[in-house]
Amino acid sequence: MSKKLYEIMSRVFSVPILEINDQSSPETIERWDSFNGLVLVDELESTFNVKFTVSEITDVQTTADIKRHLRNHGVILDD
Amino acid sequence: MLFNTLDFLIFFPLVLSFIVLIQNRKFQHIFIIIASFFFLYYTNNYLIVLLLFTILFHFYLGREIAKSTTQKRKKSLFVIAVGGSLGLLGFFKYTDFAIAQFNVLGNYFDFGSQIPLLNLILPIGISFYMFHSLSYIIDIYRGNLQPCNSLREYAFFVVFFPTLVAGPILRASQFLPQLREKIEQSNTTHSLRQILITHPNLKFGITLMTLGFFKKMFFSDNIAPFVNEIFLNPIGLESYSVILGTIAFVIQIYCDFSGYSDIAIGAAATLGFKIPLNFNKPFFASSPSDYWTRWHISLSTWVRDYLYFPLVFKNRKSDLRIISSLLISMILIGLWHGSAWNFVIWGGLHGIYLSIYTIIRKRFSFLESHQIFQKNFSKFFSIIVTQYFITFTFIAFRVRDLDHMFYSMKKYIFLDFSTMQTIEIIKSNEFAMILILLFISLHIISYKQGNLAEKISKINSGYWMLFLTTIFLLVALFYVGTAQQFIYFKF
Repeated sequence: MSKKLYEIMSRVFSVPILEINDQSSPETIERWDSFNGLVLVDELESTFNVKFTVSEITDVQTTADIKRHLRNHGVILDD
Repeated sequence: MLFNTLDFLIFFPLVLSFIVLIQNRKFQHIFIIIASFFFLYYTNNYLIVLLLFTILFHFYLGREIAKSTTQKRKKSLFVIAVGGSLGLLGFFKYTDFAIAQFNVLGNYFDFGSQIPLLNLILPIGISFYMFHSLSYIIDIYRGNLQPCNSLREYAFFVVFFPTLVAGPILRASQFLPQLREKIEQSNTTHSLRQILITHPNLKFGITLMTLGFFKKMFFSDNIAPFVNEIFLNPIGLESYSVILGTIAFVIQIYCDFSGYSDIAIGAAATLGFKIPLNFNKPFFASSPSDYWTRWHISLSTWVRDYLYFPLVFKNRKSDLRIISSLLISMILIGLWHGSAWNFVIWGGLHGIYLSIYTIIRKRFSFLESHQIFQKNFSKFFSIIVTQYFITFTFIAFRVRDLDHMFYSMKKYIFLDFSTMQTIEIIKSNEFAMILILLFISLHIISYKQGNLAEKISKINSGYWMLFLTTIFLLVALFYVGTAQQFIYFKF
C-alpha cells in the first residue's frame, strides 16, 4: 500500500518512484512546493476518500507524516 | 550585541565554557536564558520588559488553550493570544506609518491639523520573537504541539540568543522536541535534556559561523559603499549603472542576511541544536515559487503554514482565491520587513509573480513534465529569467523614495544602452567590482557542492585550521573599520 502513495507522489512531483521513501520531504524533492503540495492533497483525498484539515497539511514535514495522517483517517499504508 | 564584534567573540566562548562546566541541566538552561537576556540587553536594552511580558503572556495562554474543554473557550483564548501578539507587533511597527498615511489623506481632503507621530522605537527582535511565539500558540490550538510544561522550557525557546534578534524564525514544533529528552526516535518526554557540546557539532558550528562572518564582513560590508553611492540619488544614472547597483545590492543583502543566519545556525549547532537552513542557493531559483523555497525559508514557510494555507485551503480550486491569498501573503511579507510603501511594492511584485506562475501551472500542468523543460538549457534559461525579475523587485526593497524607485525601475526595464558613466563608476569602484565577480564565481562553483560547511567541517584538523586562518586573514585585511549592523536588525 505504501507503493500506492509513492506512485501518487512520483506523479505529482515528477520524480522516479525509487527516489521516494518515508524520509522524503520538500528538502529532498525539488518539486515539492506549496502548489504541488496542494495538488498532492487533492490526489490523496480523491484516491483514499478522505478529507484533510489545514492543521493536518501544515503538520507534514515528510512522507512518514503523510502516512501518519492517512492512518488517522483509517487508511493503513505500512507494508 | 552584534555578531561581528569583539564583544560577541568574548561572549560566545564564555557561554560555551560555562555550559561545559555546568553539568546540571537545569542550571544550564537557566544560564542560557540569562545569557540570552544579557545578549538582548547589550544589543538594545529598549523594552526588555516587552520580551518578558510576551513570554509570560504566551506561556500561560498556551497552557490554557491546551487545557480547554470546550471549543468556544479554546477559540476565545486563541483569539486573545493571537490578537494580543499582533496588536503589540502592530502597535510598535505600524502606528507611526498609519498616522503618517492618515495625515497624508487629511492634507488631501483638507481636514486641518495633523496627528502628531508617536516616534516609537522598534524594539529589536520583536518581529522575530513574536513570530516564534505565534507559531507556538497556533500549533497548540491546532493540536500539533503539546504546550511547554515549564516556563523555563518556553523561555528558552523564545529567547535563545542565536536566533533572538534576527532569526531564523524558530518553529516551536521543530525546536522544542530538540530541547526535550528523547525517549525513543520520535517521542520525547517533558524533561529537558542536558546540553552537550560535542566535537563534531563544535567543528561544524564554528565552520558555519566562519562562513557567515566571511559573507558579512568580507563581501557584504565591502560592497555596501558602492550600493550606497548608486542609490543615494539614482536620478540621472544610466541603465547599466542601475542594473549593476541592483545586482550589487542583491549580493550585499544576501551575504548580510544569510551570513547572519549562518552565524546563528552555527552558534546553535555548537550547543547541539539543529536549526533548518534559512537560505538554499536562491540565485539558482528557476521560478518564483522555487525562489521562495530558497530565500528566507523560515519566514516563507511560516507565512505559508499560518497564513497562505488557511486562506486558500477551503477554496483552492478558485483562481480568484489563489491569487488573492498569494497577494495578501506576499504583501504582508513585505510589510513584515518594514512599515513603508516600498516594502508593500516589493511584496506586491512577488505576489504578482507567484500568482501568474501559479495560474500558468494550474492551466498548463502538462508543461512542467514536458521533455523540453527537462533539458539543461531550459533550466539555465529559467534561472536567468527568474533572477532578472527577482532582482528587479529589490529596487523597491532598497529605494524608499518613490521618485528614485520609479526612475530606477524604468532604467532597469527600458535600457538606454549608454555606457560612459557606467565605465567611470566601475573604474572608481574596482574593489566592489572584483568582489561581485568573485562572489558570482564562487557561487557558480558551489552549485553542485551540497552542504559546504558540513564538508569543510569533516576535513582533517590541519587543513581545517588553515581554512579558518585564511578566512580570518581575508576578513581582517579587508575589514571596513567599524562593525556594520546587520540589515535585518532593522526589521
